Amino acid sequence: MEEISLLNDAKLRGLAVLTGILTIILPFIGSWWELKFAEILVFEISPFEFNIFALGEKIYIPLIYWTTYSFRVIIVSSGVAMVIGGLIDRKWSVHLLRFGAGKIIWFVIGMIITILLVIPINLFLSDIQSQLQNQIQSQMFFKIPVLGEETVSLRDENVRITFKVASELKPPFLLSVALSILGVYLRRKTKPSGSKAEGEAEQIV
Amino acid sequence: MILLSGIYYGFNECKKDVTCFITGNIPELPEKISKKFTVNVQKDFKEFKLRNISVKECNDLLCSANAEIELESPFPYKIKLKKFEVITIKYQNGREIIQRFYLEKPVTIEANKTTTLELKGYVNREFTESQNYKTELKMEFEVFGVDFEIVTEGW
Repeated sequence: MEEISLLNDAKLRGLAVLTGILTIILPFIGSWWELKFAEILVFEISPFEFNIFALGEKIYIPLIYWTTYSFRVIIVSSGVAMVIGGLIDRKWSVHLLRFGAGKIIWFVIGMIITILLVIPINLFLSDIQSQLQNQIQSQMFFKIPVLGEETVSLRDENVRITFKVASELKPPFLLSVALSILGVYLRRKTKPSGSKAEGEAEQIV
Repeated sequence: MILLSGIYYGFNECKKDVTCFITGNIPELPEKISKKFTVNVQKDFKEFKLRNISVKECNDLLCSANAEIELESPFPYKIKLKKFEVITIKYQNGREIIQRFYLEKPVTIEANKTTTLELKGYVNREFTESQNYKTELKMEFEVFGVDFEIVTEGW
């Protein structure tokens, strides 16, 4: 496979700058995944923010807040690295770009794993619900949808309670997927080729 | 390193208290929520009376009518009242004499406010309140995206 030197390819450098800018913006455009139990319990999740609202009250957990805050700093740094790597012609530009381009995909993989955690949670829920049914003849049966909507209905003597459990991927997640694909592409195209790449870089410097 | 620094900063923010660091404001929530969300549907929604019943056109024994009802929301949040129906039934000589009032379209009730609902319906000229009658209340409202359907009856 022919190796392309980032420093000689204007298109690749433009792509790196664009990916970098979008990466910098990514943590500030909202959550990636939303899980709602009516409006009673709302989860707005992304690697950069983890908002939980219980009856309108925001839940603040320092461990989660500061972890997501750190991820925000990491991803912004990655974006800045990509922009600098794409703009400046130096020997280290490729390394800077590769450092930035490889980050997003890990956040996307992490997010997909988080969403798929719903499957074991559902197994646990169905276990609890069947136990409850034996004990109090509960009519409540529901699963958390991985994606989509589920209507939950509870019936007592004179009261029927109905609400929706909805799970939805938000547009920033699609952007993150696109950015991770671009990141992988940029990494592949700027793969250091030992002495050859270094030689090319030295010639330009 | 960035991640560790962030976590360390957050830990210090909690004055190195692990419980605070992991649970945050969760322990305070039940009290906050229960203060805001004390609902006694039985008490708060059932104490009402139809008033200002104005009879319009009559067709034999049935007369179309309007009525008002005062309803105080026990919820500290906006609620959407989707359905509200009061049916009074009296059994007389093996017959049912029915009066019915209902809400024509959904109404939003502001938090903890008393709202006067305007109901439409009909009254029966044979119906006299002096005798024992059954009242059925059918109500459907939405709060925080949850639909409650309540059907109660009493004599």
